[in-house]
Amino acid sequence: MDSPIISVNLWQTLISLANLYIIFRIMRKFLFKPVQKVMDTRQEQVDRIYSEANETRASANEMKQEYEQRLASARYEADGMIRAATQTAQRRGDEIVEEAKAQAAHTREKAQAEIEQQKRQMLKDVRSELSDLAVSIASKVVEKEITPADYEGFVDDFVENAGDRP
Amino acid sequence: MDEKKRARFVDILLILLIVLPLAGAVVLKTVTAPVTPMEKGVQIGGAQVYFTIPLPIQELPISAAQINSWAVMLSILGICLYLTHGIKVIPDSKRQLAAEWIVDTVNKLVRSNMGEKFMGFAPFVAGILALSALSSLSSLLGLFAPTSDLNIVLGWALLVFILITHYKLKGGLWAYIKGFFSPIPVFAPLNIIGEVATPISMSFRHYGNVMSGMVISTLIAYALRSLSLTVLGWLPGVLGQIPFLQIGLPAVLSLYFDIFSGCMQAFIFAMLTMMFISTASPEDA
Repeated sequence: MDSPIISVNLWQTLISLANLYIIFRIMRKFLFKPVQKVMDTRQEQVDRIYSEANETRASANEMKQEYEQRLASARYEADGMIRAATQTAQRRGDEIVEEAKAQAAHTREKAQAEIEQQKRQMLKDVRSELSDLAVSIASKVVEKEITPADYEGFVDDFVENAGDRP
Repeated sequence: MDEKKRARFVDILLILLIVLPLAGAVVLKTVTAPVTPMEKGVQIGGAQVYFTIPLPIQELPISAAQINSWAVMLSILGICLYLTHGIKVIPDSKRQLAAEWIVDTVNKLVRSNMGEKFMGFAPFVAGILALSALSSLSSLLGLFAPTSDLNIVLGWALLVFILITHYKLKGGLWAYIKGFFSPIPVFAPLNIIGEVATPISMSFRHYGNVMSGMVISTLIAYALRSLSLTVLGWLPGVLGQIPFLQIGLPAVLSLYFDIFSGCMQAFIFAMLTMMFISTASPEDA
């Protein structure tokens, strides 16, 4: 038996109405809720990862800046240190040179003084020897004893003249 | 490993839940279908009635349309469970992508047609689309499409009508009544008819499209069979009884009437539902 091709049956209509409602509940509970949940969780994770990445990048940037700053200050400090060291070294070198010069001058002076003194000593020795020689020659010449003191002035004159002679 | 095996087992059960109801309906139809002899000519009727339940007001015939719509519902339940089975935050299966695509598409559809505050209607719209489209497509299995029974579609349209009225009443009972007398009181009968026409037009549009497709398909198949017997009847033996001319044209018609028209009507019904409900709701509510 077939139902007529077009007819309205209250109960069939109500059953169909309930069917659509049931399908709505099925769709919501078994398809939309789980999928939505999973998608929301994923979105949450993605958001979190992004914010973490942003934070990390920001802190990395901060650190980089800090390092750059530190590097710059270190370079400046090193420059200062080098400059100071150079100055110190320069000064020290100057001092040493100065000292050496002074010492050299001193040594030369001393040597000159010594030479001078030796020269004088030698002259003195020569003079006394010459006077002895002169006295002995004179005594030989006059055949008499003359005391050296008596002829000192004479010898001196002689030496003076002898010294001038080339 | 054990976990994997169990997941596979559940998958198989769910696939059975999708396939078995429809297969059962097909078997039921084949077993109980009355054999109509060729000589009686073409017969086009409603759904086959298996038995009737006596109820007050009107008795309830349990027809093929009823049975098939329940089979389709079970299949939809199976599809939902299958698609969301083993769903993960990081998708690793094609079916999860399919499930997310469905949810996303329907959500977008509802958002663009109804607005953000109606997002709760997304499962309802998805339900209409699935139930209507799959009901119409069940005719591809040789089943009596539930949507070609007026009562089925009328039930859906009534539910939509109830929702429309519910949202109209949100603006207040007085505003609802006053709406019938605008712009001038003379329009009241027209307005009332217009209001009642909504579910009727929705259901008749859907029912009429699917039903007429079925009628045309049946008529053309019958005509081709008669033509084939007349033209090729001289062939010897069994060869003369085979309706060769039925090859081809019915398939093309089925492509249009069963697949295109069925999906189109489902989409139209869903679109109209969204439009009516969103316009029924007061703007500021």
